[in-house]
Amino acid sequence: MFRSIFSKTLRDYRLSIILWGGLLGLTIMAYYPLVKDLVSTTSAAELLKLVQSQRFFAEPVGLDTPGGYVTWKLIASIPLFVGIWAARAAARLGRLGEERGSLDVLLATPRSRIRILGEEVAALATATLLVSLLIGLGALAGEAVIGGPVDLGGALLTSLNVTLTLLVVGMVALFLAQLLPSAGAAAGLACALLVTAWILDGMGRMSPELAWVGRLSPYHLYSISKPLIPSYGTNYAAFIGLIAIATVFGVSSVLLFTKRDVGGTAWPWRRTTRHESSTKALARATQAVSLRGVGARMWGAGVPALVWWMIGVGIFLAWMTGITQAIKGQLNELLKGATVIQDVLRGSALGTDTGLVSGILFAYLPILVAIFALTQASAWARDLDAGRLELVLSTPVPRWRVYLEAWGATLAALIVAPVVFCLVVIASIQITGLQVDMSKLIIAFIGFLPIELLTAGIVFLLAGRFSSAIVNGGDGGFLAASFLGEFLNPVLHLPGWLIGLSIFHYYGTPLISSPQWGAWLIITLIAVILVVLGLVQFTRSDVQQGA
Amino acid sequence: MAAMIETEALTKTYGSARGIDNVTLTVNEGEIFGFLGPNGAGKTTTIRTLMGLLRPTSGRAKIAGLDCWEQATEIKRFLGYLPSEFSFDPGLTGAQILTYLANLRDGVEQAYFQQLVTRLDLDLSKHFREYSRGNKQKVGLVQAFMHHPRLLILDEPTNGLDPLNQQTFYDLVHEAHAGGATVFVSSHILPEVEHLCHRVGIIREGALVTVDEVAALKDLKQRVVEVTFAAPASSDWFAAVPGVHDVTADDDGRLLRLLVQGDLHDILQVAASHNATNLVAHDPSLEDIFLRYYATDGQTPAAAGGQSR
Repeated sequence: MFRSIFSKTLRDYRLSIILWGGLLGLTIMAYYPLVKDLVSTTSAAELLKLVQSQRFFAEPVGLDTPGGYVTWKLIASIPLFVGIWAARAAARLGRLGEERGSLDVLLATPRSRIRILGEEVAALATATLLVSLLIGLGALAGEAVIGGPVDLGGALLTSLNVTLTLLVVGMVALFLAQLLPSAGAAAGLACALLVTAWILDGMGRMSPELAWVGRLSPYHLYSISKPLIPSYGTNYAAFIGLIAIATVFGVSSVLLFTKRDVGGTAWPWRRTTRHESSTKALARATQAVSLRGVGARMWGAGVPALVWWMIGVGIFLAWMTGITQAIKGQLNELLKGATVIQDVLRGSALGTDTGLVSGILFAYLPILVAIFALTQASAWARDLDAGRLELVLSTPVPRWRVYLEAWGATLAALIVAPVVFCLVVIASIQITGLQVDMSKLIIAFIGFLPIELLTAGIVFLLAGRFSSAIVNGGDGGFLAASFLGEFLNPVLHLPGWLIGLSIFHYYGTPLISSPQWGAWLIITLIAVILVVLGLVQFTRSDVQQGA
Repeated sequence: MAAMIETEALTKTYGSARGIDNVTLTVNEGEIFGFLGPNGAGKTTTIRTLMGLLRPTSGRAKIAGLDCWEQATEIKRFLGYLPSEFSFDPGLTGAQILTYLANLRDGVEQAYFQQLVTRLDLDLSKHFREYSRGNKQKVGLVQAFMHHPRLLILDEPTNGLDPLNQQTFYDLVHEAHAGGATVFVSSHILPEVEHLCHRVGIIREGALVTVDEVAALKDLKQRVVEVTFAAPASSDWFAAVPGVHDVTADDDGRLLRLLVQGDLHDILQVAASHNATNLVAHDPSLEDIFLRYYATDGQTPAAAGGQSR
């Protein structure tokens, strides 16, 4: 795998290919039996009525077929999620090497700039193709599981559609990386554009008058092909459109890369940097509260991410609460016969507002807060991994205090975010007029704390002992497996001992049934033990120098 | 003189991989001690063990009588440390990093801090990611010196510094030493150690090969003496002279090159008796001595050369 830049870069993506492709493929496969149950008990007209209010997310076509429903429910949104990976990966092509200084070494070999970036782009394209093929394979397997017709052509075209869309996202990110000074800034802007494109596409579906808005979005070119629905088919002109956009941005990026300084930007205007004197910089730093200690520093470093999480998840929660109010009548009517879906949504009380909020909103919130906890805690693993504590540990601050202050900063974020989420949901419920027991709602949010603590505790235990990639990958994989196992257990019927390992298993349905205080307490105790073990480990073990 | 740093049979292994082996060393209070060795010899492992960042596999290390692992926090109150490599949040400015580290020390004397920044010509307004290697090193130097430490442990301190800043660094070390500080400098730049240090320890493949004063190490020298004669000379004239290890003649036989251990008294007499017209003695640099230690395949130079002192 180290024979060329192409193979080396492709090797770097191996984990992403397996995680994104494998998890999405498995999810799609596991979804088919659910959908079969739903479409066999509900007419197309009824389903259409149900999803009309959710046209924003995807155009409801062929909902009475498993392929149609899966396309609407899952495949329509895939580029939005995998696009985040594609944008991040593409923005780092070349640029990350510039930031680390490794590109200088690469450019010292007899390889042209065009060839270096070209091989890296080819590797990314191959990786997106492999991810997409695994997604297509999931659809094929799903069709086989329910005994339906297996549409190999449709699955392959679905993979191609996903690949081309991811390439567009990636090439836009790569282009932005030529204009901006850091891979992180380019990836962030590309993700913002991706979400904007998705919103524009969604708006275009909301009413015929807004259709032109949707056509402004490249995402529209993805949405208008639905290869898994034979009656709808594939729009090959859209494929060509996606190829053209990816080519324009890709070729432009490579050209800009060959013409700009290594480490510089291709921005046509001179970058004006605000330059203040050392004295002023020092005066500002002296007054900064976030520099008063390790905990304050950790908290300060995490605040931007915390704010974005609160905004993003807050909007999602407000939106979902609104949708719950809008569709509750239709949903209750339609789900009367779909027992499996009811099980998945834990909908023993779907007939009530509380049940609906529990089934719809709280189906996804545990995994969201767990991912949030992972991102917050992973800062500790990253700092250790990068050797950022070497100087801090040369000061007379004891190791136990460094560790506990870092944990304290993480814990504060883990408490603040759910409180804000809870307030958003309470406000949304008040505005929409849903009838939900507020005390139970608050208890349901308190129940997230053990999940967050355990997620973060795993990171604090393993950080320093393993690389941050392994820590985050391992913890993230555990969360993904727990969520999928829990979500699909009604269909998969996993053994009790296995599903008992899921971090989400003991959360229960606190909105509609008694909270599992005992289980929550045990999980919290386990988390505390992990944090204490992490403390012992950190104070008694070598500190790696970092890379 | 009291010992500032003491290690006794200090050993650190990484699983089956070698770190350092049985390092026994004493650095006295108030001296400038050089720690020499090529890359991977164990210099950084020794230093990080002294800093309490690595736990010794066996043996012990003490600084000012305090155990480097168990009492690391107390030690760091009077210690300044410059790692060979360090990183920081790339989004922080130099001012923020140094303020943060100063806060973790409950503040530092601002006048001296400003003086360090000025003397090293460090721009505090830049972000860590924007700093060149030399400027990052300056940040490291400022934080190591800013609290007037009693002990400075500096791991390859002039890495990336230009000659002007290297000179500033030497001045800072001499000033700290004049103020009573002990300095432990790791380096593979021999003239730097020769210039700065009183004593030198040489480490090779994790083991301490020798510890001695710079001047004493130089006494081990095998000088090259070139003697020129008016007429062709004979190697035999010097073969039996004590301390002469090797004699070679140039093509026309008028110039003899002698490899000499010890003083030159007997050589001068023999040269004079044969009407030598010129004599030049080349003193070995520490670098020569260092290379000899590394050219002897694990033996001490004395053992390898059949000489002892």
